[in-house]
Amino acid sequence: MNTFSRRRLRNAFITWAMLATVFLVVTLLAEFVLDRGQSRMATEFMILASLVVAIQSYVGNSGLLSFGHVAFFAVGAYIAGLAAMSPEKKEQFLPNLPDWVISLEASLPLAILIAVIGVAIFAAFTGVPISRMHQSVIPMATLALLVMTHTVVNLWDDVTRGTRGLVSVPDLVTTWTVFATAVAITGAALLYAASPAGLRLQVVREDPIAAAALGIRVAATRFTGWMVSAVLMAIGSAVWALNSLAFGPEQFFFAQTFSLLAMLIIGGTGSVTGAIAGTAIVSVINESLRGLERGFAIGPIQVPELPGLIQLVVALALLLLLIWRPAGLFGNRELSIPRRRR
Amino acid sequence: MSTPERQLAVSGVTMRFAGLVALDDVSLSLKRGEVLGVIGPNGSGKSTLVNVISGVLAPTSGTVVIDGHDVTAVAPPIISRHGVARSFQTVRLFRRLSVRDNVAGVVRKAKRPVDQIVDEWLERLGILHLADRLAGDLAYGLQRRVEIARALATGPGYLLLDEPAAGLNDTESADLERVIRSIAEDRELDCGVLIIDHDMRLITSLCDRLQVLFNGKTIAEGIPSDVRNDPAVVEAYLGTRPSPAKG
Ligand SMILES: Nc1ncnc2c1ncn2[C@@H]1O[C@H](COP(=O)(O)OP(=O)(O)O)[C@@H](O)[C@H]1O
Ligand SMILES: [Mg+2]
Repeated sequence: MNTFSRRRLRNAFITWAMLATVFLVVTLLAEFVLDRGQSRMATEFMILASLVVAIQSYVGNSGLLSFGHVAFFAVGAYIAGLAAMSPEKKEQFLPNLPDWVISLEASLPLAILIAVIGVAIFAAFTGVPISRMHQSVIPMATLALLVMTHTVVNLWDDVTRGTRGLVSVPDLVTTWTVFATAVAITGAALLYAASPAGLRLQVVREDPIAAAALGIRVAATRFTGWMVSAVLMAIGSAVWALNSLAFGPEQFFFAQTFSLLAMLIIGGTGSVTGAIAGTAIVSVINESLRGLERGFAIGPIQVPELPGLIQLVVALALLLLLIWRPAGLFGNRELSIPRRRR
Repeated sequence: MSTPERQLAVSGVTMRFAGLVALDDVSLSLKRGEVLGVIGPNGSGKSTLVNVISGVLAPTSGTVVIDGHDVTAVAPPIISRHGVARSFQTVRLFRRLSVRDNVAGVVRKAKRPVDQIVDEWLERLGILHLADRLAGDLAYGLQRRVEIARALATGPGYLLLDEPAAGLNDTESADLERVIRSIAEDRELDCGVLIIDHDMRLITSLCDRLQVLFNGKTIAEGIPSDVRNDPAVVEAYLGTRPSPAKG
């Protein structure tokens, strides 16, 4: 325990308390003030923020861009969805599942647990070779992971229903469970970043050669971050799935990867606060342009449907940000109380 | 094997790079509490020697033994765990981390709270007031100190410093000399220091022994006053440049 820096823990705790307050306000608004549509948006924001924070705990601390986290997202969502679906629905839509899967009807905590175990196994197998690679090829390897996972999800009809996707996934999630998830994932990510293992991953990010010469096992350090991040991703994915009711393979591919990484990078890869801020910004862009995408009229002029408008604007925002503020809005800084002069 | 000798022993190390022989049958030993100076003109193989000892390079032949354990060609983190810490000729700090975190990040085990240990090292190197600054923002001389604090925080039995005084002004260099001497004389630390440098005044006053490399070979070794007057050294090394030191 002595290797835990109390100073880092204290700062993490302060940030956590402040971010939890933000989520609390969002939740209270969703519960008591906003209309149904807006309250649904608020819930989705907190779920997406959880996922982006989970990605941040690897990408931010390691400095390695990962496209593979959406693979964890897919695995976690499908596992949780299948675990929680009622036996009758599984019988109807997925009759070829093994009997023990069909008979399972998991509660929310159990579905999350099973998703965590499944994703952790998947992450362990893929993380061992990936963590040993040179940092210049790791992002490419994670991209391969995404493509492989997407292909399997797309083709494995008996389990995933292929391109038709899962339907009749039960809604086991309330605004308060989403709040709890976001607070828990944020806390875990901050705790990890403040821990000796998280600091070592940041050290490896800065200079793997110097880190190794000073006794840090680079591959093991990266692997730890990969696993922590995968577990957080699994929790977020399970909650996402049990809030979405129906989903298919296209939701776990390039567009999703781009969207989640844009949120992370716009806010600032180096901080949990940035991940949440980036999610908020991109969510606002999404919502404000959703109407326009369906086409609109300016006086007598009818503007046709503009599919892809949201993605275009988000991409443009990302590009401009990378030009003007390459470290993202928050850089490496977290929300905290202003530092006292000593 | 009986009680292992508490020393760092390099025996018969040869390092070839595609035709170029950077080290040719070099041996050296470094005891705890001793300061060994390694000198020689640029390109004589000094940094390569540190790279071989710290596991960055695997030697073509020869062995490196630390406190009785053969660690030849073992990975750097394991060599670090055997008690070897180093600095780099071109400073390699964790630039976007605070000075404090540069040091805290390499502390492995701690009998006392890590914050306290880190503060003590920073205090000792005279950089405690810079603890919250980003390491990459510091002036060069201060970065050198962070690098030494960081190396010491791993709890080394042997500290290898590759040109720590390069680029320092006279005051900074004198401060550095004091720090290195205090490390070597600290019985509690029980640490040997291998220092590479071109500043003959610093080296002569600091080192118990000198070893001179030239074209990858050891051409002289012994106490500083003898080595400086060795004809081979005068010709090969000191002869190539005006002697920077007087007396
Ligand atoms: N990784 C390497 N690959 C090829 N040649 C190298 C490498 N490292 C050092 N050398 C060569 O080995 C010789 C010794 O270099 P070095 O050990 O850096 O000398 P010094 O530190 O004494 O100035 C030089 O000729 C240098 O070019
Ligand atoms: Mg050198």
